[in-house]
Amino acid sequence: MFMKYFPKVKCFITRFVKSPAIAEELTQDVFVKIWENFDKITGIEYRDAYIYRIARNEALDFISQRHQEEILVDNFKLKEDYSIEEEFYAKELELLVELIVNRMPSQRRKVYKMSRMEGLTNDEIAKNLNISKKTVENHLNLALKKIKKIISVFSLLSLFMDLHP
Amino acid sequence: MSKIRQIVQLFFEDDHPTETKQKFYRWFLAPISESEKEKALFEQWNRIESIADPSTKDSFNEVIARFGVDKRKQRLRVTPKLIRIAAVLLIPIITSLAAYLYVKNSETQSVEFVEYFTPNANLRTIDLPDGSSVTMNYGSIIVYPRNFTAKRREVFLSGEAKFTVSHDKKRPFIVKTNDMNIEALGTIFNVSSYVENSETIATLVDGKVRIDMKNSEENFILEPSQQIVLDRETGKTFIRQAKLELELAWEKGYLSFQNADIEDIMQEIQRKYDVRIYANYKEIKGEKLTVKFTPDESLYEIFKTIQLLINRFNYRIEGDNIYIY
Repeated sequence: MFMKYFPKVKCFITRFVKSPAIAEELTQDVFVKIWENFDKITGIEYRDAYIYRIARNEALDFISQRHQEEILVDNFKLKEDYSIEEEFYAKELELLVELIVNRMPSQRRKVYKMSRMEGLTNDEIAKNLNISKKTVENHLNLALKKIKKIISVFSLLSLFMDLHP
Repeated sequence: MSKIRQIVQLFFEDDHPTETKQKFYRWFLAPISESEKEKALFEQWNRIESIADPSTKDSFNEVIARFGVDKRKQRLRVTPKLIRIAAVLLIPIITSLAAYLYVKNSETQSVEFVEYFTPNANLRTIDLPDGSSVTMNYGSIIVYPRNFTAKRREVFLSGEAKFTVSHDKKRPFIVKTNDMNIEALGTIFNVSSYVENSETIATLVDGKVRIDMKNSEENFILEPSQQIVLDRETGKTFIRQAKLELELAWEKGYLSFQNADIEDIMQEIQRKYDVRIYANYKEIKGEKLTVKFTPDESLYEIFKTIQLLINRFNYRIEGDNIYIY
């Protein structure tokens, strides 16, 4: 059982905490806990779900203990009559876009950020990165296409997408 | 695919810079859409194909070796005391940073959210921007905007807290939890909404509140000393008279239960003493207890008492871990 589940738990925790070293430590903790319990806990019907729960709690404890007691959350623009939920919704969308952008190939990511976050024109970006304007336009098209594809159904799309001709 | 599932999946599949990681963790820990987030997490677990490789054998040996060593040595955890000390040092830095950021951004009318997390084994009281105060129980998170808007005062809660709301006719004070929203004008009330518990309970001490259920169109108005109980497993809600002294005893460090599920009791013990309880609840499921433990009672005393009250209840306490069988 160890041989079967250890890699799975470690993989899960690594993807969550993003550090193989920490994941190794936490995974060992998980199995120590399971082991000590093994003869005492009989009749666990869903072994997989049980192991998952322990792994998840271990990982969550770790990341939430790193949380300080008071933290600032990002700013974003607000209209007086939006409720907190709508604001969190917008923030979630922002996070999603950020994750998508992080996964783009490096030059495309640079182009996108320069365009959308620094507000440079396509000409300026081309000059900056020493590439042709056409390349910049291609990159932006592909980036926006990708983002649109993943976010497709949301009506706030129009706020975020601003396709240049 | 839903946005939440997307976010979790994209985060899991790749590496991300520190700033993104922090945003993700903050987002994930926020008390909103908790069950969807949990489902997404479980989905990621299920997607993993497990393949053992040579290093697994080494890890195996290490785990075996650890059984001979005091496990506490290897703790990556920061103890609550350290967190408190760190927080005391951090707060002046954070608040001045907050002031700086706020001033810098006030032209764009942006809003900052403040988030408080009380770890297990900690209680704290916080003052809100409008003069209201919140006392938080172990293992709770609240989130609210640094400055309430002109139209409403909203606070998100996951866990348990007692609110003393300052009177403001123009701005309703709304506490949002996973299952229900509680709206008040000038009043004192207690909310218990832990994700791990089987019941969500809101108790009115003084004043008046209106409760809006999230899963149905129902709403309720409570009179002082009344409480509304939502059984999360059946989805049923009912109103009952609360024993206020019992309900609010947690503030003084008491653990008090009124016809509570044994599982919920275990959750509270975990939070107050910061321990882990491993149990096969099959044998004792459905057991309900009405019992009160004083603030200074030890784990040993508590479990001895529970054993007296329930049949076939066996336990073993080992440091931070308790096993029930």
